[in-house]
Amino acid sequence: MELDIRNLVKTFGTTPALHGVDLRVESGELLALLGPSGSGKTTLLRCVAGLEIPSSGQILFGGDDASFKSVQERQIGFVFQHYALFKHLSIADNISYGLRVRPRRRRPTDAAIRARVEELLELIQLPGYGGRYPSQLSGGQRQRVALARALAVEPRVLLLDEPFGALDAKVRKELRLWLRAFHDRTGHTTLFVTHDQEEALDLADRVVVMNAGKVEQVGSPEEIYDRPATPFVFDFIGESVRLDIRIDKGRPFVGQQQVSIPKLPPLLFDGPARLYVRPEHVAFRRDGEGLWATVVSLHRSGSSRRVGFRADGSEALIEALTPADREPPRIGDRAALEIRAAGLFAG
Amino acid sequence: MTPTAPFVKPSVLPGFRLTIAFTLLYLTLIVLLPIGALLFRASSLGVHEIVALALDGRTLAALRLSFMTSLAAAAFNVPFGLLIAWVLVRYDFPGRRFFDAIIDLPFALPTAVAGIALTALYAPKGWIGSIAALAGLKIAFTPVGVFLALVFVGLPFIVRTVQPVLGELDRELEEAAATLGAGRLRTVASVVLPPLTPAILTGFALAFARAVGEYGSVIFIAGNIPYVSEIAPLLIVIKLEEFDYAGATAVAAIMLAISFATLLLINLIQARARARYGHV
Repeated sequence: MELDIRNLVKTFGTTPALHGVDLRVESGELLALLGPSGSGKTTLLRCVAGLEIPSSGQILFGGDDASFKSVQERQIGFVFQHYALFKHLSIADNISYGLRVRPRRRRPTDAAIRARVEELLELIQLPGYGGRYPSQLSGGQRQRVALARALAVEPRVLLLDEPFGALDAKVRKELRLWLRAFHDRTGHTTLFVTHDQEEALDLADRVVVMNAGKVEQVGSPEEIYDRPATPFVFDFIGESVRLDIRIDKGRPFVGQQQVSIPKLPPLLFDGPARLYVRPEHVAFRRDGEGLWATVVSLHRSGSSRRVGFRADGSEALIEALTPADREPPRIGDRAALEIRAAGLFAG
Repeated sequence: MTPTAPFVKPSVLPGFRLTIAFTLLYLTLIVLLPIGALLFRASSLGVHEIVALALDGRTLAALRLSFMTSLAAAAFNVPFGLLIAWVLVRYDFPGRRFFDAIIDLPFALPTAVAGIALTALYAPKGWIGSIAALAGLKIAFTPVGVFLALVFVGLPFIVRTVQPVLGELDRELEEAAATLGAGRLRTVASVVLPPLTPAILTGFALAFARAVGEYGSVIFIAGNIPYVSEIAPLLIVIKLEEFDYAGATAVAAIMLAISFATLLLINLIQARARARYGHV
């Protein structure tokens, strides 16, 4: 089921949390809401769930206006960061909870409920765990049970709030792959919140980058990484350095040096601008054309080495990556930098 | 010499020997010794006489009144104490801290003061008593009055035992139940109450124990009519005033036995409740 969010505004007292968010989630899509803490991503998710009441705006589930529906009526599945399993109920009773609380005429028979629980336990790869209690399970297992509990009621939309946030790095990675495979098999429209960009870029069909209650960019992981639309996205996703530059007659200058950057749109303004450059887009040579700079730092990080430069006429530390087995330059060496790609923003 | 497992496992955080010694000594001095003395004193009467005394109509009536009103008052306090704890924990409203402090008043007030205040209110000429009298109801000087006084002294126990547990309860559990389609009442009954059960039982047991032993706040409002509104602790005092020490201790011993049995029963239920919810 597709989901349409229109001009959603939420303020807590006088603190605005969401400023007019518009977002469309296609049916069967796995969408990540990514942003730093306080960006409003969890508030947006909770508004969709009905756990928060928006100050204004609309939320449509497949064309059906759900803005004024209660949580119970929305038929969503919600998975919490800390699982929120009912500790006094067995795994089977946790999973079947949503079915058992239905009014009698919509409640499946006991046999049907048992069969559904077995099916879901199979699906989350925990067959035979029905009689155990949440405390007897590991974090990753608990989160899978929470997912099964949310799916038992056949929700129209699945909402996950930092689902891997409480897990350690290894389990988190495993569960992430598992969730992707799981989604490909079951195809629920899924919205998940994360502050971990690797997780979002790895897992989602599309990523929504949020900042300060607004959507900064919506796009595929590739678009988000390769073509950040705003300075914020450039800064937040991946690594980049910001260079304060000047545009003079349509040409960018760092200090007194003109830089050539391929694939930039024509520059139609003059004045100060910001250039965002990723380390993997910087190459250096000992001679020839380029942005002249001095080596100021050297770090070994895993299989590569980071070389830090300070360009003549700029204070920013421009980093470049070079294979660790190559002879590194020495601190104080001079080099010409070639910037293969960058983002340029006025102001 | 065969090495035997030491009774006390060596630990990097010592203190077991000292603390257990102190605990045993303290319990003996403060609890076991007086109870032992009581039983010793009662035993001078002989089993036959104790049974006769226990089966005496006036004693039976007093014991029945004491235990029944105590149970009823503790049970009555459960839903209302729960409600008060809920409101104090969950909502922020002007004067919340003030109401929170008021809860402890029945603890702090000298019981005789409470008794006089309650009697003034509920006596046939009192504010509430006069209204009740219009409806043909008599509160003071009847078992209803005893019940009211015991409700008064028992309230803090339920509120204070439930409050911290309720405060610790994760709101996400209720949200999870709501997203799964459970209505509010269903959520409270199936998600909130089960984890509170051990605390509720503790509060109930404490309120009950306090009510059984309550004297000061009850005797004024009870009117102390033999066979009607005379509580067992009062009967003990009456026997003491008649210099019937053996009789007094015998009634005390019977109360002790019933109280102990009741608390033991509550503890057993509680252990089962904890086992059910013990997978934390």
